[in-house]
Amino acid sequence: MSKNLYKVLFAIFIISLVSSFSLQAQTVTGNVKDGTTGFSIPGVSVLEMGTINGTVTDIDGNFSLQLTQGSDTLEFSFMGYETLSLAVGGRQVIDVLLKEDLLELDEVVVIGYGTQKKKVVTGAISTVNAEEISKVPVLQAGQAMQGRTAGVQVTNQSGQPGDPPTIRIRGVGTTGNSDPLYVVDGLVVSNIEYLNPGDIEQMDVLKDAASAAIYGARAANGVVLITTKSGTKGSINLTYSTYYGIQNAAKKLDMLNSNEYMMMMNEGARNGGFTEPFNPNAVAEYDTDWQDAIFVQNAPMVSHDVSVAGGNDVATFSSSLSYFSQEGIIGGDKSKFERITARLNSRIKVTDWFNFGNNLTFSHVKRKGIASNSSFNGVYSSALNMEPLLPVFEQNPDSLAQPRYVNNADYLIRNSEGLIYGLSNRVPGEVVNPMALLEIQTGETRVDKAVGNVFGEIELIKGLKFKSSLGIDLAYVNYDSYRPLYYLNGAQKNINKTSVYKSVERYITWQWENTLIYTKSIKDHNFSILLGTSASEINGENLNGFNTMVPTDDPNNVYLDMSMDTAREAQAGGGAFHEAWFSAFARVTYDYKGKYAFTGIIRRDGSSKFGPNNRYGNFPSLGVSWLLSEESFMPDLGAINFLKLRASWGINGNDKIGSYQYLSVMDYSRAYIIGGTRLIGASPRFISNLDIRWEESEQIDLAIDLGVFDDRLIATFDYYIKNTNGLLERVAIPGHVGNDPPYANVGSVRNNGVELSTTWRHYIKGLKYSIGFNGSYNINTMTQIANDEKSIQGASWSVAGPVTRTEEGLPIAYFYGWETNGIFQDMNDVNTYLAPNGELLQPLASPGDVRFVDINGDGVIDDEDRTKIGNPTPDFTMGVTGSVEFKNFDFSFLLIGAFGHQIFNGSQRMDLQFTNSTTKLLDRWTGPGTSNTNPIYTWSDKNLNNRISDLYIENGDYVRVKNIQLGYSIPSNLLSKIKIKDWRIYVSAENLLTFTSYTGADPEIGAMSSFDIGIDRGIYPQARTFRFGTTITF
Amino acid sequence: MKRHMKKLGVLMAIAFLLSACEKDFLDRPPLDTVVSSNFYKTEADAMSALVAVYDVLGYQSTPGVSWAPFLTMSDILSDDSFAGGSDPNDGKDEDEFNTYNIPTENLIVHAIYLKNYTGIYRANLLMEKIVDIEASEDFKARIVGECKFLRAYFYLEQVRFFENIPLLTETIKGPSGYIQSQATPADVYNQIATDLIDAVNVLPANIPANEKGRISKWAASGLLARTYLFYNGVYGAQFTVNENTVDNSVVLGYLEDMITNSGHALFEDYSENFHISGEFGVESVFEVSHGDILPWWDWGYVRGGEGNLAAQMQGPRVTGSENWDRGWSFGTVNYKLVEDMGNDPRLDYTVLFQSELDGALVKGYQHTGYYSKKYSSDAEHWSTGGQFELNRTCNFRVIRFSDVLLMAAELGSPNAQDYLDRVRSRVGLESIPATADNIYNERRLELSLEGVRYFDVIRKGMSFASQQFTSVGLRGPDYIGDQVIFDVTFNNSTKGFLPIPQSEVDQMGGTFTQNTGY
Repeated sequence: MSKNLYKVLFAIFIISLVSSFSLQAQTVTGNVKDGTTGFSIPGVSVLEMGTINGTVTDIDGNFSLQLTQGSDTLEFSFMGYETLSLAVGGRQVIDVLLKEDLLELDEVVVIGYGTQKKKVVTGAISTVNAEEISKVPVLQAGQAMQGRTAGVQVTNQSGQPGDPPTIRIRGVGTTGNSDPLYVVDGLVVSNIEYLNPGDIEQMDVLKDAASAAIYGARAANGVVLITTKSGTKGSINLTYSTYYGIQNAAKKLDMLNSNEYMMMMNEGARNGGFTEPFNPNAVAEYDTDWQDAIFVQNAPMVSHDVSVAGGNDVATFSSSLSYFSQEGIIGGDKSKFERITARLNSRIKVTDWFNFGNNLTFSHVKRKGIASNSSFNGVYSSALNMEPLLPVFEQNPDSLAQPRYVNNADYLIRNSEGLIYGLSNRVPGEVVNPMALLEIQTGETRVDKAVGNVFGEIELIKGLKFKSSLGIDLAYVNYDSYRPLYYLNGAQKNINKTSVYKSVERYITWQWENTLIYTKSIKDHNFSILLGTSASEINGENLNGFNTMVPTDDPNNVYLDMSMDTAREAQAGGGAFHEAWFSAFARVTYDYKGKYAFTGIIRRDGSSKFGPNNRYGNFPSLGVSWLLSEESFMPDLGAINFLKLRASWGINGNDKIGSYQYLSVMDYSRAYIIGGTRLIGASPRFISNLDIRWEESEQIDLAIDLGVFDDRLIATFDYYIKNTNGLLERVAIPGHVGNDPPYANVGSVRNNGVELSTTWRHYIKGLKYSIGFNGSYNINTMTQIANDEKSIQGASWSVAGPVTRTEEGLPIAYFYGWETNGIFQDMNDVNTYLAPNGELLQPLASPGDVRFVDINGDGVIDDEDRTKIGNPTPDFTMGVTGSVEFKNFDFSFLLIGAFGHQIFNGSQRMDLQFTNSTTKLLDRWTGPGTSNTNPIYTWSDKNLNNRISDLYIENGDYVRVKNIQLGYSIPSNLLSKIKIKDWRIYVSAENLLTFTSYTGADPEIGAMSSFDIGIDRGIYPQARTFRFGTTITF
Repeated sequence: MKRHMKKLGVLMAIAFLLSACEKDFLDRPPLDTVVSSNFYKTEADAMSALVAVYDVLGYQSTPGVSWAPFLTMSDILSDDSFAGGSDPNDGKDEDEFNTYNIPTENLIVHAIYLKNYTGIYRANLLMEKIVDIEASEDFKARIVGECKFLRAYFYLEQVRFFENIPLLTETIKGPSGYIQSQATPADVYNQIATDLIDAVNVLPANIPANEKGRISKWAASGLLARTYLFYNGVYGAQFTVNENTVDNSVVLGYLEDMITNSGHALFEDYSENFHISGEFGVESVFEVSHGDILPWWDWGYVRGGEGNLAAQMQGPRVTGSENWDRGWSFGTVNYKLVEDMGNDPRLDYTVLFQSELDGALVKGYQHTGYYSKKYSSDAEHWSTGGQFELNRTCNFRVIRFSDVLLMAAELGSPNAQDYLDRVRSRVGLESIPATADNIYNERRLELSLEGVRYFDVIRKGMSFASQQFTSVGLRGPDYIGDQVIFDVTFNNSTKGFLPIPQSEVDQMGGTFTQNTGY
């Protein structure tokens, strides 16, 4: 009641205030309906143009607005409908029919240094807008593209909070760094981890070379343009969004229990000729489920985001403050990501010809992590390999009296309650009690970042604008880690001195861009010319220090000065680098009635990464489109109302190598003894290659855009061929050169594929729904490698050696190992597996061992028989999105899928004795006919059954219900009473279901490098998350 | 006002577009590292660069390729020693040397090839850079002289092993220079001779104690004679240096000068040549230093240490001995050498008999019961720190004064009898006539297991080499293994040269011709 009283008083005050200026206040009422269906539309924004005075329609589409006489025009806008402006003209009742704005092609896309209507875009650009991001909040900006953009493959690197997703646009285009270029509000930034996803207005992905050419020498891996939110004219909105989520492991692997474990260990020992370690009648004291031990129940995730936006004819602004925190499902706060961001974007119209604006963001990121996909010292991989007989905590006095506890009493790891973590006396190597391993993790990274730009824009003459923009990206990165005294097993211990390591890095990039743009329409001929320059520089410096004997109870507060070490083993290091770019560019766009459109771009880039011989490069592109459906000569296309053909060609570059690679660094590791003294010598580490230049990617794109049934169905189909030449690699050079090779432009890779993205949207009887599908099929082929072997060795797995390889004619980083052909069932099988010369191919084999294929037919099974046994990169990736809105309810889902690839399941350490295994081990060969896929379990693997082979390769196909969400918007007639404009609540689930035949924890395995993809070393799995969230707009 | 502002804006824009293309803006030299383009400036820089050239003398391995000590490998090629190692697979590549059945992909072949070009590159680079270094002309002349000597040394090793090799006297500046052709052997030998004579002319006669290890003019004279004997023996030709012919008498002149004026002499005790006390001693004309001053641990970058890997490889596989320790038994000595030396007093200082060993001996592949005693894992050369295998401390005596005396005798010195007598009387042997055969045969007795024998035999022609290197049915009394593993037949179709490494031939896309016999 009192609220209403206030309202009334406030209204009276306003009215009296307003009436002092105006002769009379006018009230307009009316109703808003869908122009096609005739149904009322609730929630339509009704605004008095040029003022902040406005309202929204109620559930029945009715509105009532008291005009302030600031304007005589009302603006009706609603998502999915065309915005309508109407002159009031003294009317008191205005009923409105809004036209559905299904024509996505009228949307504006960002093309770099400007925007363009999608109708006349000639390139391949995928867009993700704020609506999609705010409806399904993602944790990191990069994830917003997952499943929503054809041709952009987004794979979470692991489930660890803060691990960035792997983003590949149109395949892996280089053997070097394949990450796309990120441009936020015109500023090139090194990563987008610092961004609050809620601040993003739109993400536009420039996929084809013609579009990306505007970013020239850095665009070959595609460009992601991010526009952050800016204010709009009208009332000031304050929005508060929050969610709270709980995360749990989605899947547990089925491990051997204690009894099965003891049985199998006895069998392995027996088969290997060892003494059986367990009494067959022994009853296990413990049966530890290590996955239960490490997985945190209901790991929390929380987000708060407050934003205020608004403005008037003179100035608009958008400002926000956000906090996000996520604890991991493994290790809780040992694997934690926190982000705080503050942002202010403003635009000021200083005069009618001069605009001024800025985009400023500060962010603080704190990350604590554990090894997320590692054979060695991985927490999850230790959990999968540790024996179940070991308790998490050892409390049995008899056990604690054993030498490994007694002799290491000072180094035992205890939890906060003083309980001692169990030490295995069986499992060796890097496999340790994963809970103890977690306890000693201390590494923490903190990033403070200020990113922003200010710009001014002058309209020189009508249509000619000059814009100057100055941006900076400043980052401080602090890392520290503390190494306590510990004893985890004989190999994993630190029993000498505690130590602390700290590092501080500072990077600052500035970028100054100036553009002149002239836009003109003469009759139906529309054209624009853009000329611009860009200069930028990055400076970086780092310092690090190490000190020993730092006694502390608090690993989070350890400093170098705390050292008590008289031996003074402190170490310090540090360095610096700088890089610079200078570019000039031009773009011409032209269209005739939107029917024929043309875009031409040329960019000239200079990069300090290359020597004077090849410092500058030119990056041209051309694009044309033809709106066939507008041609009068076209016959009636039936349901097809829109048909556009596009074609584009362009050349981009990739300069992602370290600084100074064209020079040769002096190496001081040379020495010779002269006069009894070891003198230090110096010679170049590599020869210099003053000729190195960027990798050059040339791409052709052919496409069709389609609108059917009045644009209810829209579809885009693209075909592309992308050839990247001059890949930067160090490959062998002739010996007579006399030094190690420099980077050189060698090798080529081709990606070609098709992309389809289609959306069906419809609105019937108050039910609004849409369903979208996007899919991309890409074939990646290494077409040239300029070394002798015509191959590059890739990532290694465990102790077994290289598992990926890149070779001419095959995809980048394919799995490389031995091919198998079943299991020898009996001695006769072994004795009849013969080389061409009649000798035994596998003389060391026994029944139950793996039969390997002599690929090269030379009569021996050796390294030369390794071959392609799988491909980690999917041929086909897809996303399916769906949404339904009915009355105040909304429902949406996102499915993602990847197909045609394999995963190397290497989470088990078969090279070590006494490691535990999944229950798959129970399917091992035990006698003739028992198994033709799982070899005998033995501790002495004479036949090398465990070598890298197709037995580790599994089908990696999966479909994942990435997100499913149900929301409810509180009816506006209820809200208007409490001065709330909009209030929505929702529940959502992430990673609810995953359909896959892959037996490991998670089939989504991102790249650790270009050569290290799809190798499961016990990957930190992604969590299944349930979220409750709400968004309130005041 | 508004109009003026607009004009100002246009001007600013145009001015910026034009002016911002400053060239210097993109020139970003490294801040925290020294690069080759801004290094070579001072005398100290030149010394560091020189040390890097000397460093290659001590290289006996190429990272990621193979271990390949010159000493061990040339002796395995000769009739002095077998491959050895723990088992046939331990020294597969070594055994291919031993049996003259060397595939073009042999890793040791590649390691040798890469090592010598590394040295040649560093010498060439320093000679290019020295021009602009701030230093006195004397300083520069000596550095250039040393570079020329070292370049000649690496070329000699290379051309004696590979015969047909590219001849580079300056560094390759970029990928456009990668493709090279093989030079004629004459061009390579003449370049070696030119470099050595230049070195003789500028290098000092006396090396002070605090510079021991640097090259004297006498080392250059000695190497010139060694080169000449091989070149003249194999090709029957003389050197042409700056259009002058350098023949027997010219070379002999250099040796006579050394014998008369250098102060070099023979140790009274022959064995002093292989003790630490004899390092850089009076008999040592050219010596490569090894040591453990910085105890080395890194198996991944063995080159970083200064240990003598040949000593580690050739040591007996014995543990628990106070006198020898944990060698790898490569280069087991051929019984033929023991037989050839007969009662020569130098045998006891040349060959280590298994009967001399205490401790537990593991007998490996091609075990004959004999090991090299000159370069071995003996207690005197054990390291005081680091990984013991990587820190054997014995220096490699490349050219000894006794070799100089024998070379001078062989080249027809009027004092040949005196020279031969000096070598023999030092070990208590009576005089024998200084005939060509006797002088030549003395080399076998005096210099065996010192990396000299193989080339001494090759230079006498293929039929002599076949006769010397083919050894069948000979294995001595203490062998382990079938006779067949000790039977070796020389392959004279190769003329005694190694194959050009296959990957080098492949990379040249047709400009290289593989050596005959491969």
